[in-house]
Amino acid sequence: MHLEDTRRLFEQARERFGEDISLSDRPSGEGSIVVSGPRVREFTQWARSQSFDFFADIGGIDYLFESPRFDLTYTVYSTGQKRHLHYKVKLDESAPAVDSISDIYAGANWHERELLDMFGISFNGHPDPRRILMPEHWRGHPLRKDYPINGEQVQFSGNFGDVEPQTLPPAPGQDAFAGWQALETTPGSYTQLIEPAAGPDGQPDADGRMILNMGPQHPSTHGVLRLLIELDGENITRTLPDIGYLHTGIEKTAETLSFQQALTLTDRMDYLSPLGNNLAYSLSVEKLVGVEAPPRATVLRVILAELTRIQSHLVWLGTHALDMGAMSPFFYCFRERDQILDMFEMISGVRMMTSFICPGGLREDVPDEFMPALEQFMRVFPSRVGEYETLLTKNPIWLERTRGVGRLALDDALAYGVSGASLRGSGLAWDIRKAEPYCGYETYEFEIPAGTHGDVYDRYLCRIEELRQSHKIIRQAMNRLEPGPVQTNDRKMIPPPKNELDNSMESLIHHFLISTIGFTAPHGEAHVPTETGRGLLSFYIAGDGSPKPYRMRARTPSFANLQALPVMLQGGLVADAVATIGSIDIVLGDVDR
Amino acid sequence: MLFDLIASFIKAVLVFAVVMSFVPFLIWLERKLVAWMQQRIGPNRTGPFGLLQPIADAVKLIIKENIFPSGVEKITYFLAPMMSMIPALAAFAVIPFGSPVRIMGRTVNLQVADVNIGILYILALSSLAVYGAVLAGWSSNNKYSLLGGLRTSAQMISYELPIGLSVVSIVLLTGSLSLNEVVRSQASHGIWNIFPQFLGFIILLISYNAELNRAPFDLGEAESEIVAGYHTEYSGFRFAMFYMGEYVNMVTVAALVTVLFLGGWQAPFGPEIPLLWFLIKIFAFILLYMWVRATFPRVRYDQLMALGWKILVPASLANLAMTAVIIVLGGPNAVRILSVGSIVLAVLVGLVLKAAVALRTKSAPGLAPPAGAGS
Repeated sequence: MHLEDTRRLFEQARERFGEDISLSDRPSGEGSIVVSGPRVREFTQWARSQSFDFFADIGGIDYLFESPRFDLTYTVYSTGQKRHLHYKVKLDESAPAVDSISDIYAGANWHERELLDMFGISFNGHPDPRRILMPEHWRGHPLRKDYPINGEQVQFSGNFGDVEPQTLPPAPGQDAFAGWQALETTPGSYTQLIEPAAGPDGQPDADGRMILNMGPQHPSTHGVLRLLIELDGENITRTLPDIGYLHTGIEKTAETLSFQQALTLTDRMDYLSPLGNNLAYSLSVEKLVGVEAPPRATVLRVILAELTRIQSHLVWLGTHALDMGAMSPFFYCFRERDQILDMFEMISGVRMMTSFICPGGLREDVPDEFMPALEQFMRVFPSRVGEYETLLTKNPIWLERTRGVGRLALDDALAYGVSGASLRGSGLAWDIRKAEPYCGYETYEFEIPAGTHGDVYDRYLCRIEELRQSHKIIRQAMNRLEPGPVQTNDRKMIPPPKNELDNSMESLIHHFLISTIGFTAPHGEAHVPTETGRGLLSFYIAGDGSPKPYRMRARTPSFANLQALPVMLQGGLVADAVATIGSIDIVLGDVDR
Repeated sequence: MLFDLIASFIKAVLVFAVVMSFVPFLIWLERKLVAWMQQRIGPNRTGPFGLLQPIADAVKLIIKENIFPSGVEKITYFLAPMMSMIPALAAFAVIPFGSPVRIMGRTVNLQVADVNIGILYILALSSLAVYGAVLAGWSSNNKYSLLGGLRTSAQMISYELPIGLSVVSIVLLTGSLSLNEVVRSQASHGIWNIFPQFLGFIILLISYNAELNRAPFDLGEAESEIVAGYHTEYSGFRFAMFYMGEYVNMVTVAALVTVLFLGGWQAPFGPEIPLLWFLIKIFAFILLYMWVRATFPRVRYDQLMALGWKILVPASLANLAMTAVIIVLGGPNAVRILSVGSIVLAVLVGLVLKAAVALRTKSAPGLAPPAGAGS
């Protein structure tokens, strides 16, 4: 959304909110409306009534030396008007608190918990104010700038007794496990939250409900997701997802690395769509610094992003079918995926964590053998999609297993911020590539499939169709690929070419600086939404004039999509849980970051 | 008398040895076949073509430590694997695998025991096999095991019904419960039971797939849902016993279907070579089950029950009724009339099923044309 749009909205809101709101020029190019803390609920309601129906994110930034210190950026999208709105709330250092909006947008629930966890901001009226990514007994709030980055010695089996786990509640004179035992009895801990009330004899109550602890080590939770499922027979009566097992502090780590180095972290978030993440990150950084990638790089980015989408969908299809007991599609999908990974290896030397798309363009141009390999893939791929469909699409067992299972109503999907094919399966053809195009997607001809029922089968059909549409986009991009540079010639970001270094001392110094310290970004914030295979991915990046991101907030699609899981599982069977988890296509690295 | 004893002993040992040595071969075959279907190579490191891989696996499992997890019910936990393997092996005792041969002037049936209630015996033993799963699931003190045990017991008990009903039709046709007699009657009818009992054959094929706990009916051990079901907590030799029991069961079922429907050891054409045709038929079934496993997704628990109770039981009842009526009314031509009637009935059942599926499909028009905010 342009600054102008924001200003217009601001003028409208002004009539109602008067002096309680003001206009901010951050993030760059878009701007935002700063709302005073007490009226944020009201403003959220107003925004929702202004057709901002899709809740995306609340990002926090800790401006340690400014006052007010905390800066919360709420991001909501209007799927109808194809635009989005940022509004900010600034909070003071002493007892930062703001009203919860989780009853207006259901999806705010987890985002608010994350802010509570990471920044220690409390949300009044939040239904479930617990930590979400860090363990419940964690001390401090990691994303605060004054949180010490000194690390803690890790307990391995060899030194388990020698290391005192600082992160557990202090238990002087007791062994390392005492803390955990204390945790078991802590009110509000997971085990207590869902444990059925015990009868007089200490046995579970007469309902005969059973708590099934699914994961974090379970074959089909697609990583280290833990679900506490309350079962009545095999019927699911309640679900409580527990995440954070793969939390690696990527957002915090990025603050200690230069922009180029932080790029490599984005590969590792959604490890099935590394190039999509690279692209989202690079676009945001480029916007912050104010450079643009050259045309060849942009076209290649589209090709690579679509290849990534295809290979991500192939992993989804294979594992989804495997979860439902169909073994063979998995191997067929991985056959094609390997072809794509071979191409990635060809261009970057790495099969998965390529970091090939970087701020300023691409790491380097693709080698000569890339295009023939791509051409060969393009030739075989459509028939291969047909092969997968033969095994599944009209298979009666597959239909029975997926149709009407894991339903998600469109309103719920929007309020929870469910994006990607999981949203489109619920009936809305909303795709950032069409709604707010980047990388010139508006010039490509492709269609956004949408389902009608919001069940597992419709999500399946949507993703299968997306495979074909991505193929179509790549074909168009191949036709418009022309020789040219693949990196911007803006010297702010890209070091001078090698041949200049022999003649020019200044170039040598410049090269040295960019290679060692990195390029600097101005004060400001930037945000570019993109669509990866999983949905809406955007990086909200704040710069402070240094070569490191002051804050890198990743709004990841899996996090939001997973949040809607309990809604989809309600009333299903255990087998449906497996089908539904597969159908929302989460990657736990993307959820926990 | 002594001769009979010695002969029985030799036959018992031979059958045991052959069936047990089938198991590693079948494991290898399944892994190899499924691998080929999935564009993989399959085991190929141990021995020629990886043939020794299952042996190596078995050795590894046997020398592993026996683990009793805390909280298990020790006696039943210990007994359960045996309960699942022994009935499978014992059931093979009544399977005739060749026409009687003459040794030292005496006729020897190629069958460990020619029990005159052979069919009943097999049904009884296959019901016993449920206990293995139930006890394992219950005694393991694990929720996944419990779910697996529950699923398996419900599934096996439900599917015994269509199995029993289909077998009763065969009994009507044969007039005897002896498996030897079933084979002989097929010879005397001049037509294998698969024709007059076509629907029964299909029902039995599906039901035994469920009874065997094999994909797409492997709910009791659905690895993506309940980890490994009732044998989640088992390791080492006890796990191997479950695993072997499964494959022995497969051989037994394949042999049983061969005897009941495909004329047992009889040659479809050409000279009768002892054992050859029997083995070929058995393997045809086993390969079919393997192929099915590589192709289909798994059905859901409630759908499995619905299939059993709402489709297979009524269909097998219809088949039984038709068989009884035609046998009574048809006189000497009963078998020929049945051959036509059975196929007609099978087609009818198929059409009804297809209509039911189409009715359900109609409510789902699939993807809407791209519309809304995106296009």
